[in-house]
Amino acid sequence: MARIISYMNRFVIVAAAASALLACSAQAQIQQVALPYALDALEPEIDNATMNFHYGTHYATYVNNTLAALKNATDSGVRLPVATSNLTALISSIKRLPSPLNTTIRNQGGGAWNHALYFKHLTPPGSPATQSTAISAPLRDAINANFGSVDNMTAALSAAAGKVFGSGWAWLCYTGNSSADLAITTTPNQDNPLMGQLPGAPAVSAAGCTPILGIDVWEHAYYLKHGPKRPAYLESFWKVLNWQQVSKNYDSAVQGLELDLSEAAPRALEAPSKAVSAGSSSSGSAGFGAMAAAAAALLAVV
Amino acid sequence: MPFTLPPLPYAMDALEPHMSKRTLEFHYGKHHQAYLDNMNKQIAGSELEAKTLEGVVLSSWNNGSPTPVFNNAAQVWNHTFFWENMKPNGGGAPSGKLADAINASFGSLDEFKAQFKNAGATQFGSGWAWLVADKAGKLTVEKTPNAVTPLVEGKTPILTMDVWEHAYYLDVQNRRPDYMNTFVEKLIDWEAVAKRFEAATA
Repeated sequence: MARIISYMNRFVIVAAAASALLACSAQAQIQQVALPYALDALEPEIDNATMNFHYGTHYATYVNNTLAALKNATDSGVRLPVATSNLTALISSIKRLPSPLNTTIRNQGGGAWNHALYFKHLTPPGSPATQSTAISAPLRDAINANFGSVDNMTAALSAAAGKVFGSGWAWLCYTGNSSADLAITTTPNQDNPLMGQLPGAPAVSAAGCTPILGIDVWEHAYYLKHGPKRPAYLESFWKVLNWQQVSKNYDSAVQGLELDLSEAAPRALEAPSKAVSAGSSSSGSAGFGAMAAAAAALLAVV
Repeated sequence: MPFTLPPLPYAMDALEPHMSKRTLEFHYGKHHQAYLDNMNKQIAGSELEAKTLEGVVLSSWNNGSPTPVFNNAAQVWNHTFFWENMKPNGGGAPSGKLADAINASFGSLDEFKAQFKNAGATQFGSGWAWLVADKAGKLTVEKTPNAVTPLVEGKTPILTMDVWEHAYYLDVQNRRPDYMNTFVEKLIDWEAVAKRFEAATA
């Protein structure tokens, strides 16, 4: 089993490198975030087997399904209000997408976005980035102002994550509201606060906010290692959270920039090669309500 | 009087190799048990304690604005129903009136299986696939999210398949289609389903 897993590790790294190289030569398009760490590097907190399935299969499938749906739509001559290379803009514009593409982008595109944020803000346990000293001054100030302390915030977010019934996510998000600019919220399935309040969906508090930290509580995120014990997974999660990345996410959100979810050179086997940023350099904006306006301005016919 | 869980109709390892003992230990011993314990805590001292389980489910559904009791009560009901429609050396084919009804409603057993598995495959996130019978014997396939059950629409389920990830993740990980094939071909207790069909159409 260990040999199979280490073979799979190498396969995933090669696949990520290969697809990034392809992306360099082709049009920029949505792709998986390349992991800045090996699939077994989050042990013992998040196990290798889970990472293999979670990153290598679940996340990959969301990306592939998103690409297939977009290709299908554009091949059929569907005019989309945003660039197909801009995943953030797409999920922020769910309400403006035609059916049935809107449902596919909600589920598969949401999955692609959510997992990009998730994997990008994890890091090996024990590394300096996991210490609360790695939290930037502006983010620490915001956390203290909104929650009293980092410990209060993580306790509240863990509590929210524990209460999610069925599949879903718990988020710390930037609201853009100067008097309370951070909020904790949860969404079902692969929904995301950027989608806004979707018709028929349960009420999402702080709908429209920009997530800067996300905890996946789908059972696939923890079941192989923890079985039903979600609280044990949540304890592990905090030991592999990259506070530097969360701080960068906060910084981007405050500046009205889209989170940089699709960059990073693949973890190369030899010389590093640069992956093309899929849409992250566009002049989109983030924050409460501003995202939709920016997406409207990004009109692109594909 | 707090509710209790009926015992599993078979030993925890009796559905091997199709559904592992480890899965049953968690699924029955932890998930199902936790839904029951949580429901009992929630309804302690209330008039819900005097109802049947089905009564608690319907009452807490509250006409589509479910109270916090619903998720637990419905999951207790759904899981008991789920265990009862599987058996060791299950699968095969239905016979008699149920077989006739399946052919009448779907065209063939294969077509029913395809629709049933499609329901399970397209229930995004957590949920259940169902075979439902009306009084006239017409059968339909349905899918529901999370804890929702056709009971709340006044319908009579006769077969269910759990597609929450905890039902299959230890055994086949992300491969829900493999789990569903195994369920349909190796686990369904068609006799139990036939009895429910009889009761639904009596």
